[in-house]
Amino acid sequence: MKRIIILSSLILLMIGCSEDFLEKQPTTSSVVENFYQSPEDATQAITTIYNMLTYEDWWSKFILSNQASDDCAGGGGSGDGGGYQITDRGLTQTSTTANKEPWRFCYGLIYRANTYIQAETQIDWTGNEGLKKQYLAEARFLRAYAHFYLAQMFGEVPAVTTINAPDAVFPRTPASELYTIILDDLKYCAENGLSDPYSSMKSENWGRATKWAAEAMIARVFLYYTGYYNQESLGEYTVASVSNYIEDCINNSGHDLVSQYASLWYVSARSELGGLQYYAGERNPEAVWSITYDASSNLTWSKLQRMIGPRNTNIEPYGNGWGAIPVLPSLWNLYNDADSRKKATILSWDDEGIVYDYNTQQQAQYSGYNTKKYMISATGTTNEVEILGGKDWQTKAYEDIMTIRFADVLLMGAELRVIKSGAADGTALTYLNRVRQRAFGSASYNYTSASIENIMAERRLELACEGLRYYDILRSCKGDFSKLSGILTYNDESDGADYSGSAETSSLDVDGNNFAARKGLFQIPQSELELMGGIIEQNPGF
Amino acid sequence: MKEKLNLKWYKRLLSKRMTMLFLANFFVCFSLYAQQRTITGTVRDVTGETLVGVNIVEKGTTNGTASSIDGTYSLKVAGNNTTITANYIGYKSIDISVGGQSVIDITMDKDVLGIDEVVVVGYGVQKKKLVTGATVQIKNEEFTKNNTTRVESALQGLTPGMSIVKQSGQPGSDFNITIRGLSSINGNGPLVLIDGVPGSLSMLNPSDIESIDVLKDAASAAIYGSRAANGVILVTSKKGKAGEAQITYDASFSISNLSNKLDMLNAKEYATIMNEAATNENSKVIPYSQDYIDALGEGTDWIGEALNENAPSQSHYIGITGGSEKSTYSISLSYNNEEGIFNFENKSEFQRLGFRVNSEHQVKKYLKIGENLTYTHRRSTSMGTGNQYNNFLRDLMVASPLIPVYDENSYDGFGHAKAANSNKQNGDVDAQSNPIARMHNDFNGINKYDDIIGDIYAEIQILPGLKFRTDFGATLGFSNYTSATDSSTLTPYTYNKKPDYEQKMARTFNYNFDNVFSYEKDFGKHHALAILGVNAQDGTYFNMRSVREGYLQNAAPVLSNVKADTLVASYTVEGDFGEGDSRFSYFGRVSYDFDEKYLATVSLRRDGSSRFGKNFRYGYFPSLSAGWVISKESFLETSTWLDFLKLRASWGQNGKEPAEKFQYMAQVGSDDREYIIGGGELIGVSPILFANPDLKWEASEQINVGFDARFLKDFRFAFDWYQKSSKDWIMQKPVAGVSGIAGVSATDPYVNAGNVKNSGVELDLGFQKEFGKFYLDLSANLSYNKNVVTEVPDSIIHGSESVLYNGASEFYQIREGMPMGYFFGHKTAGIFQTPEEITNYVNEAGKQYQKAAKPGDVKRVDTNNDGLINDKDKVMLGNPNPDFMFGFKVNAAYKGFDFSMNIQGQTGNQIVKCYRPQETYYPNYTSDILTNRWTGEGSTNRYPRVTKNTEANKNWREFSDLYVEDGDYLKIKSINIGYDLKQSLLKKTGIQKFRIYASATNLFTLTKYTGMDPEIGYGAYYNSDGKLTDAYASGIDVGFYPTASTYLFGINVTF
Repeated sequence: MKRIIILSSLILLMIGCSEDFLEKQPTTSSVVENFYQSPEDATQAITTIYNMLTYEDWWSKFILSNQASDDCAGGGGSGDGGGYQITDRGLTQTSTTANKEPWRFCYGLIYRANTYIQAETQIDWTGNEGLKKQYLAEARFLRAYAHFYLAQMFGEVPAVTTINAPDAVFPRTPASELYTIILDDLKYCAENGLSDPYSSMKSENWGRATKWAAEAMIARVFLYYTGYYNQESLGEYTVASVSNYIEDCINNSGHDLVSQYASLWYVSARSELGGLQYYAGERNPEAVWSITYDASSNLTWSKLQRMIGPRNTNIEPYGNGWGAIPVLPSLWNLYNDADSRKKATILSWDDEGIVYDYNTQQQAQYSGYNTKKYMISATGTTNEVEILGGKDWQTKAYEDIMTIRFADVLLMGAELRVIKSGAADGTALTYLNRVRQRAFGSASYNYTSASIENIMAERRLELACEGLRYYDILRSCKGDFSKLSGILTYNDESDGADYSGSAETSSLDVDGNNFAARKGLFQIPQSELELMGGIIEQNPGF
Repeated sequence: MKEKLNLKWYKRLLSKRMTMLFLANFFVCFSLYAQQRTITGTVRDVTGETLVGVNIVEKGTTNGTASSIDGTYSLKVAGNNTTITANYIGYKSIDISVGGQSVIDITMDKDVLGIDEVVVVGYGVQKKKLVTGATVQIKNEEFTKNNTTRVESALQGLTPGMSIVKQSGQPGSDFNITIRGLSSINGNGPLVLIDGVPGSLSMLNPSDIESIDVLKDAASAAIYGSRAANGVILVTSKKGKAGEAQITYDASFSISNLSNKLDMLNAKEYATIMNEAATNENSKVIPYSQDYIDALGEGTDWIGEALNENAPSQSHYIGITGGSEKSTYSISLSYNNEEGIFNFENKSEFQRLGFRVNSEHQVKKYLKIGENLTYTHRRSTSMGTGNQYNNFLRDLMVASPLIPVYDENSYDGFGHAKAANSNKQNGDVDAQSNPIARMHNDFNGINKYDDIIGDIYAEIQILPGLKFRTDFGATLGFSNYTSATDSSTLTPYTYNKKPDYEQKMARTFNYNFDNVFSYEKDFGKHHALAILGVNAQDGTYFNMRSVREGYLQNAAPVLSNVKADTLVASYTVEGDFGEGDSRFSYFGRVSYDFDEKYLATVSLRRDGSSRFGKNFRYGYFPSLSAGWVISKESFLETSTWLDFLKLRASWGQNGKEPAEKFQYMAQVGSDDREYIIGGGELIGVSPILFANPDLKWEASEQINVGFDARFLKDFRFAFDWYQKSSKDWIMQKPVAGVSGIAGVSATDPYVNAGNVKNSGVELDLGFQKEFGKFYLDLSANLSYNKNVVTEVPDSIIHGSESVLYNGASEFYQIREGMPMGYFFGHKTAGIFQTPEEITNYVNEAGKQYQKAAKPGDVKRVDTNNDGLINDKDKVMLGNPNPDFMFGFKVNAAYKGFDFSMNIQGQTGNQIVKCYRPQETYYPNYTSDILTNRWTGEGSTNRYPRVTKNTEANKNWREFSDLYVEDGDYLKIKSINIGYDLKQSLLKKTGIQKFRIYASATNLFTLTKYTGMDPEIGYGAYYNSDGKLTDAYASGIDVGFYPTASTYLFGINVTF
């Protein structure tokens, strides 16, 4: 009997292991099917879309469009391999992965937005119907922002509005269709987004895309599309309808200009106004929409801010960075000395009497000028991020990037009015002069006419080094890109700057002043074209 | 219905068995009562020395004993018609029929040729002469001869086809073991089983190991199925023997030194070369004035400063074995302590303390139980080694000799870079930090591990020939880590503003449950052995880590004493716990032989694993093998010179699991997905990985053909040819950015793809003979392996960038038609000597190739003849995988003296060497730059002119054959001599054996490689996301902690 028991238990040991034995669940992540159920899940799913904005890094649109424009050179370090200088010299990249970051970050954002837009229908919104609309508006705003970013850099890119198989590929989307998708998304946000005016906006919503941001973006997108593609309108989006959005933003958003231009940026406030107490703060009325960072956060820090300062040198109040986008002397010379924006925007080492030993600091394309906008500040010879935000200035920079500034809104408002009713439009002139008068602190430099030329000239001065200039140049061409060669040039010694610290200027593989053939577009990352199996061809001229 | 049928079947089986069991028992009992009597005797070897611990067993029973200290034995046997068998390791077993004798003295003959050797195969043992796969057994005596404290280094060079390379020369560091070439991008380490329980060789003391069996071919390994694709190493720990207890004490002491010190530039040379670099690039500022240089002396020799000369180590081992006829035991305690050859402030040390207990008991006639239990404590402090970051050796090589080590006037007592002239034109750059200060501040981590590995088993003899074995084993691992990184400012750009404190701990538990039936039966000359078994594994894990920045309130650097900064309360607390991997498997094997002449084995394993989704959760791993002992055929039986010849062939399939869990599953996660809303951080969640329910096992298939021969009595020869195809690597397939899931947003999906073929031959030749009192054993092995990638998705897997220095381009990769991790880059054609040479270097169309070059710059070759020099001209420059590996071993003994020597080497591989970060200006050079650099027309064609590394031609910043060197080497791994005191001298002391020994390891290396050590274990590393990166990369020297050369002395006493 004993042996029977032994033997049968042995046999039982050998069999009888249920399928459950091999089922395991992860602990630090959730399985997709179980997620997206409650409004709290929705908040997390929305946050992750915004999060993609913070990946802006070396090859961000902010940096690249400044380098490509006539405001700045490439810069960076002499050991960095010359990538920045190449962007500066005509957008060519020998590397197959050039421009991969903006391409991937944008499609990553679009994917997260699409994931939310698809999943939000399965969430139980009972009692939170308002939040449902608001979140969908934000998701669509962000998706439009990313599509527009891609469209500006690369032209007709695939619009993606659904969730697809990992290996799915898409052809280019024609411009009219692509821009309609962008504008429809923005319109949804303009109609359903948070609509509290600036003064009564709940503090917990600061950083979210609002109705006002969407209205401003509609104007920006419309002006770019109609300018670049030389069109009058796009379906329901006409000068008149878009004008209504921007007027609504100007009149009802509660946003306004701050009184002093230099107070908008941390470093400018310190150098021009004499102290941090004059800094308008990140949440100022002029910031219609910002990409937000925080000193206390371990993770959401500004990757691009560290790129901007002078290389390897902290001289109070100028904190170090990696030397990107040195400002060209031509921009410095463009400003009237009475214009407060001159010194609020640009640090001239000679003018301020500071010795910056760029040769030792291995600064590439040293021009004598850096931009103060979004430069990290320094106290003594210590980078301030180390003091305020933790110990490493490279991974803790925290100043919000004002992506839409009210000054831009006013100038777009003026521009749309002029297109609609001509330069004699009195309100347009008022808008234009609000911006100009703030800069000079007096009405004596005011314009007498709101001509398109004056508006564009004012945009350049007001918005210099904020990543907008290059696309203003492109849209001003109205489809005739031969005009570019008069505006954009190689930044070599002929402009009077000292480039002796530059890396290997002679070895850069720059294939000529080809802006016109390229229609100003950037090179699509070659590696992405290969991964898409050739369904999309490279932009012309590369 | 099915259950009913099964039950019926059991019943029938049981009733039959019951009858037979009953009958068998009856006979046993009857005979015990009838004719039991005792025989005694003494066991000696041919020289007349008595032998201790010889097993004497009544044949066909479990009744046995062992000879005692004076060689005598006493055994109760069943009667006259029985036979006793004497077994002793290294001796031929001998059968003696008892007849009427009551005193039987036994003389045992040394088994020089190992005819009766038994080797371990999966779930059992087999006579070596019947083995049909490619397996190698290494016995304790062989690998303890080298007197190393690590099993892995003891095994180096002993097995053809097995490559063992230390990951770093640091005490306690791990080894990369590769059997028959690289076969996967997901790691290539074999499965290690310690008494059947999955474990790691690092936990063991070599003295505790009875034998190690390496299963190299797929057929031998297939019984372990899903984890056997990289081969299997079976460790059998030492067991007790019946007889009087034996106590062994072994102690050794050693000193180690750096065998090959690199010569760096001294202060004067350094300043001169830096000036030359600035001059060559027409810099406005030349950093050092002539007066300054003239005043310089030797400066700091950083490597010398960090050296720990005559680094001591010691090792102690006490082992006790013994037992009675029914119970045996083995107990040991061991301790060893090693210091590294660079051991600044005790930061490169290793200690191991362990004990082991096992015993086995015949508790019933039909039931044997036993257990193995090993506890190991390891403690290691470690300097950063490995890749270019956090690598102290590289810090030493990079540092400027102008910086003094110490400076009592500085804030921390260490020397720091100072400007050499008023306009600060030197210093103040990253490369000029004091590496000794960095050692002081940074490398403060202490790792402690406590591992318990053990199993308990029972073996039931159900019927004659039919056995059931159940074995429950478990490993319990605890680890903790503490570190405190001090605040420091080494240069304005190398600093740590606030001290960091870290404590972390982890616990893992895994069990392994085997249940195996085995049945062995002779039918005339037919002999068959079958096993059928089930294996279940599961586990749990727990880990926690916390880091805090701030300052200490009390002296001890523990987390509780850290006062966080008021502005930023920087805390990291993270942890995870959950279930480990579960696996469930069935396996079976039938081995058959006819008259020990025709041999065949088939096996099949079915594995299930929790690392796969439902579609491919189970894998089947079959094998077939056959052998033919030709020497048993009549036409060879009379051969005068050929003693034994066996031909064998095998085929099998093995598998490999994903390197990580849940790779098949669609998941959402929150890492790095935050955003600031309303001034505060919100958590974001989105998909991180996409489902691939079709993810399946990596598959490895291998054919092996070989033979084993013994001839002219004293020679043995083994030959193997194999071809292994390893495919369906579990890897991430890059998908286009438009998918939105590539890159940062989520992880590329895992797919099965790729195929690599390894083919090669292995030879093992031995000679063993006794010439009177002189004993000689020579063996040599040679293996050749060819590694070719035959299939890769999109035909390429890119290697990492920034491996050699920050911003360095990719230089190794996986590409179809090439070996895994081959090196590629520009081919150079010497150095441009004159401006004319540059202008005359034109393509067919007359266009100049390297317009930006200056005399002294590197000339590159337009290998594809397209008139341009660009990325398309990068070609294969080297192969990190050796063509040939060889080992040579001598063992000799004369009377009490013995001598052994181990030589090991490899040829056909290349090494990429980069000790200098080529993205910057100030790092120091090795002194070969003095003679090898270009200084003017006709000076040299070897290295380009020195520059600040910002020259247009990118001499070093474009990867080229300048970095590649041949890595062939031959090393005398160890030389050992020992002396055993004569037993006659020891008789009265009660000491059985007294041995003194000495050895020297890594005494001599023959190589053309100019780095410190050609044996480089650079390889896989974990990237910042904790992911295994480039597990296939090897042969890269970015500053490798070299293996020490060591002199050792020891004693070994048995009583």
